[in-house]
Amino acid sequence: MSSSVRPAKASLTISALIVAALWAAGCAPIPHPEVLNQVDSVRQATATLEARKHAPTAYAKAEKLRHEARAAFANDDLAGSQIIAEQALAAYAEAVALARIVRAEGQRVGLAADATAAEKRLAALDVEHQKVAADIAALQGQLRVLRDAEPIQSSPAAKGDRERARGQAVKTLQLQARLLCVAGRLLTQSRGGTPPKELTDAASALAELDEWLARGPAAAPIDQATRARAACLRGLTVVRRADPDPAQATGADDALLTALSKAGYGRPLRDDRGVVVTLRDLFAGDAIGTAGAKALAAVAEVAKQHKSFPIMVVLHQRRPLDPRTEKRWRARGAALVAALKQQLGDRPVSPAQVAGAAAPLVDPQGPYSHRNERVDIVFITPRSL
Amino acid sequence: MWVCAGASDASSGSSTAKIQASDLEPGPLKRQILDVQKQSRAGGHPRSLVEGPLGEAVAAAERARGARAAGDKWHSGLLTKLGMQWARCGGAVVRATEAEAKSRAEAKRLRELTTQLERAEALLAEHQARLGRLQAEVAKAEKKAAAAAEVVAGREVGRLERASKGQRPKSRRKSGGGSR
Repeated sequence: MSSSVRPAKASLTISALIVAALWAAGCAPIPHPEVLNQVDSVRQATATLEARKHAPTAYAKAEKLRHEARAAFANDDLAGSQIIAEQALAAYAEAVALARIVRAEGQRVGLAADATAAEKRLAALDVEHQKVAADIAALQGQLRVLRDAEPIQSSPAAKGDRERARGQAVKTLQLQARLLCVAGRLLTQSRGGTPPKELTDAASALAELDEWLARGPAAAPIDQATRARAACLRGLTVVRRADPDPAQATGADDALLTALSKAGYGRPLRDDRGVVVTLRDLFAGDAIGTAGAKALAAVAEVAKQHKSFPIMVVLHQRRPLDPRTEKRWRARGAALVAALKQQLGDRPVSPAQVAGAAAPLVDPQGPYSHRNERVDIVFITPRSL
Repeated sequence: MWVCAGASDASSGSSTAKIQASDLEPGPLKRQILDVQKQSRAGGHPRSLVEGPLGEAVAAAERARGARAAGDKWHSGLLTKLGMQWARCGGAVVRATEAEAKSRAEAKRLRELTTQLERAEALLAEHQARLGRLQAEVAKAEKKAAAAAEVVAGREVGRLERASKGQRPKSRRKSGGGSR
């Protein structure tokens, strides 16, 4: 019996061994899906590591999917693991693309800021260049004038009518010099600057002339008066050239002249000081009359639209002034300036300049001498024409 | 983890069938894929730009449809999400390309501006040097003119003083004439 049982046992054992061997041969540990390995290698790529910095949310989402894929694999959901791992791959790719956007946008913003700064610098250079070009043109002109100028000759002595005519010319030149110097000071003041040396030199030359004339010289200092006027014009020109924004003033004179012409009051014209509108019959007695107030309001309305021009008021008389009439005209001038200031607010308006009969328009002894009595409202040009 | 070697492998990978996005079943995924294609076309980008991610999205959509047909709702849902993810990735790629193009354009603009700036600075320096030379020339000419004016002023002072003293003025001699 035992001999028959042994072979049976042996065959059972062999069978069990065969089954075990077959089982062992047929089963193996399930390898990771290839895509999981791909996810791991993509995760280590430089671009992905960059994405971690620039697109942390997208990167975190991809990481979450990677963990989910591994969890699905651990839960024997091989297909799910495969799909989620693919999704993780796509999420890493999206994170990389988003990081590219962030980087590109950052670069663009930086470049745009540099470009804006470069544009500003270019605009500033353009303004500076315009100024330098204008200075060069002015200096070339100045140099031409200086080189081509005839040598100055002193005026010879004169007598009688000629000397009297010179005396009248000296008064006119003195007045023009004074008004030009006042214009220069007013323009400087409107820009909040200090008067240039040329203007202070001109003021000294004018003071010297005034001193001479106060002494009642036997001969007219015609050359000195000419020099004083030239010095004041030069001072005004230097102030004009120091315009901080030359582009702004370009064409402003033409626009102002057109506007004053359209306003229909007075007779606008240009001279060395700027644009001048001449008004007559402003006063009724010592106060501003109705018609005068209307004309003044129209001029003030134009002035409001042309703020870069400081304003100077000059009162010309029919006859030379004596102390009584001078006082009266000064009071009229003050009233006129006050009326203008009331309408113009903070705009710089010079104290009224009482000119006397130094700048007549028609023969002071003739039948139309009343035409010499007038008020000039001068808009001082802020920039050389 | 150990399982039988004969167990079916569910990881089928991306479908190799060439299916167009327009052939897909209507739904959010199809709309998203078509949107990205439209965005790419509108930006004038080459077709190849989003071919990869959108191809994957279309393949995932097709696999989802297959899984749904087999009654496997769970994997069908996962595959739809996979398609969505690839479509989003495609959109991000288009946006990244556009952002980089903008950045390149800005860099080009900056280069041009820098060149202009260098030229303007050189021109200004040249003009400033010219201005300096002119200023020196003018100063020299002015000095000469001032000296001449000084002489004239002196003569006038003499004339005025003589007039105030009642003296008869001396006759003026022409320059270069008869002084010998």
